[in-house]
Amino acid sequence: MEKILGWSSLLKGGSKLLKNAVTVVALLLVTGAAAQANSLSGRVIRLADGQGVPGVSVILNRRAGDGIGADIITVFTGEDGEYHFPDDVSPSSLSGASLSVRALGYQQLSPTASPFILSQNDEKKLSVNFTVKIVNDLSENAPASAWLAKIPESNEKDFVRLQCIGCHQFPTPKVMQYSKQIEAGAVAMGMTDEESSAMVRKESWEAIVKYMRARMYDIFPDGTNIDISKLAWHQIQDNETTLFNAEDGKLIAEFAATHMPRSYDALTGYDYGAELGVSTKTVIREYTLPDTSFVREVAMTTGSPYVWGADLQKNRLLRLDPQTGKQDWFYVPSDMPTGPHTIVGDYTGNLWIAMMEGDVLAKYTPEKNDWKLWSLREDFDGAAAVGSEAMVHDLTFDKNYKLAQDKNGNIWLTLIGHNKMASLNPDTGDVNRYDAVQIEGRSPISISLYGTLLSDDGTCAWYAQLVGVVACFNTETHESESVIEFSEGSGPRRMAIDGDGILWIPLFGSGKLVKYDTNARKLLNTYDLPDLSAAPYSVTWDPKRNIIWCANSNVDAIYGFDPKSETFSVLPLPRGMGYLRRIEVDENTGDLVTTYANIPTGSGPSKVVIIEVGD
Amino acid sequence: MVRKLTGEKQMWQQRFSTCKAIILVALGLLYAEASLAQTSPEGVGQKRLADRPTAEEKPVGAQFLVKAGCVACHGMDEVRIGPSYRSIAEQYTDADADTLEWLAQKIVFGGVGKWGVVPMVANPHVQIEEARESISWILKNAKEQ
Repeated sequence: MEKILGWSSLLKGGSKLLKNAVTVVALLLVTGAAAQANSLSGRVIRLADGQGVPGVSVILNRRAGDGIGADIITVFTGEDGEYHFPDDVSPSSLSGASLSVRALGYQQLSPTASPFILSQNDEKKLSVNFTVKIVNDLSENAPASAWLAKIPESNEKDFVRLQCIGCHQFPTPKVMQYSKQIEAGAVAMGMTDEESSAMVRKESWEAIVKYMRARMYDIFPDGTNIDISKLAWHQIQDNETTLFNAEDGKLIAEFAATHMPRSYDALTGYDYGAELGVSTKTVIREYTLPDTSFVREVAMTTGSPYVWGADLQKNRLLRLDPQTGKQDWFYVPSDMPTGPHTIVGDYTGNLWIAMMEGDVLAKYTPEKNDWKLWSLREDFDGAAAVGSEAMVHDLTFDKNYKLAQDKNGNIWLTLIGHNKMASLNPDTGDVNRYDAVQIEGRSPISISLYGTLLSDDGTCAWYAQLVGVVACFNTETHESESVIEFSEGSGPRRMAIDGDGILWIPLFGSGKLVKYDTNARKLLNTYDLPDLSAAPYSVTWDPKRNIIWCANSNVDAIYGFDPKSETFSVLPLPRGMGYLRRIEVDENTGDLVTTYANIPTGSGPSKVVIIEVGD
Repeated sequence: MVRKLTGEKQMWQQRFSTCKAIILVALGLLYAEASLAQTSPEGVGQKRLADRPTAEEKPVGAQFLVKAGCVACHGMDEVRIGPSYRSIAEQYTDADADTLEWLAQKIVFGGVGKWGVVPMVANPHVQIEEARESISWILKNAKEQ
């Protein structure tokens, strides 16, 4: 790159930076401070005894734009209930902003307005104190998982969590409302005896299963050819082309009718199940995205300061500048819809994206603004149904969540629509496909071949099938080996491998974390998550901290697992519907980077989340 | 530079040093910024791919029913999970204004009892005005199919 420039270029074009520098100098002279320290702080105290409450989330909502960075910032109270926002929260950005607190088991009493609107003032420091009271009814702040806590654990419960939470939290407010409608309807129709009310519930939940098969078509991008309006009803309900077949549907309906709460008016007796892993230095920054976009995952790539996101709905990538909050969008150069789904960076600054539609893998080079697309299409008859395409899902990465290729230069991919592992050589364009483990009685799409990663020596593409299988796909013999079988509802999803070759397997349905030694080919241990209904979508190994981060879909919190002490800690998110799919660890700052990803688009918060752990 | 009383001289000297440092840094950054703008696609002034806007035209009628997810339960002529649009149109042919408003509210908030024991789900993503237009469309068009 040409870097040597004359001084004349400095005088051209108006220097915004110079103007900013002058402004800063002027401010320093006026304020007499070397830095704006703690512009917003305060304390949260408990009404009963006036004591400070630790671990409370204090959430600042600012007006987005104007280069302020994150529009929503959350900090946590310390031991004495004190909190302070970071120094980069400028006083000028607080005008019209709102402040609120959130903590399981507490309700804000004062300020009485919640959220509390900060009034415009000339003060350089603002202090806002909150008073909270203890409440027994946790329904306001409890995560979705809390409503499942009292249902006895069983394989059926695992399976329902696996299938239902795959797209959205369970129960969502909409599910709760449907339950209320069922009960109210039974009463209104005079069907309150045990037999009649059981029949009402059974039929109602069976209807929901059919409804979900149809709503599955929401997962595809704008302009999709996988189009429900092109299909007859019997095709939409065809068990072979949906994620859950006839037997699965029957199980889900029966479980929901029998076990789901009849009332959601109050919730008691729930806690996080582990210590909070937050401090006064923990900062959560959220960047609100358009609610018509669906940025389901984010990644970072070496050499780029930006956060990159895959917007499945709009067929484009997001580039987010975490410093300013500026969002730019880069459309996939294709006449066909693509639906960017899984995004992985590499060590040379590229981004690799698996597309939900069109059987495409793409490489995007930010430095050159350049795209390259490869097709993995095979045996496609143009049908508009789910599972008709191969559906490139995941691609192999290494212990640092960077793209990994075997010694022949192949990237390995999971084709969820066809239950096949595929290799793609990006230099030659060669594609080969191989069967993954077959499961009798299940169509390829309902086996759901999901996550994959590569061992350090490149010989093993470990893969997971949601219905309970993890295996090594030997990249030399092209056979599956070391097959690990879990129960059908356990749901191994997206794994991680650490520096010692330990494979960490999150079990989405059963709420566990499995530790497997890939060198000895031996399962070492299985750990219960603090909440068995947390639904861990993926795990990420953090090499600097040697911690396994669990991106959970159903508990509005991130778990950190310390392999040494074998304990979990909880990092609460600032909101409900905090459905996460995966977490990236910024290799430069150690921050956790993630995004909310409820299906369908627009049904939950649409934000990129960056977390300064504060350790 | 503003001169203050002797007692504050030290503070002002510190500020002056700090200011000088900042100015130097700013000039250095200015140089770097100019470099980036001319050489790196990620710098200031990068052109991105043509912004291809998605279809922002508001879908109406049958298109809206697909986009809003209504087809997940209702077919034009066939019973799916709920009644067909034709059945609905025939049932409410001569509906008065209050009934039409009730139907629109049902789309948004859900309901149960008219067509069996299975509730109709709520559709909070549908605006009430959109629901009214949908009812109007169904009653006008479903019978003609």
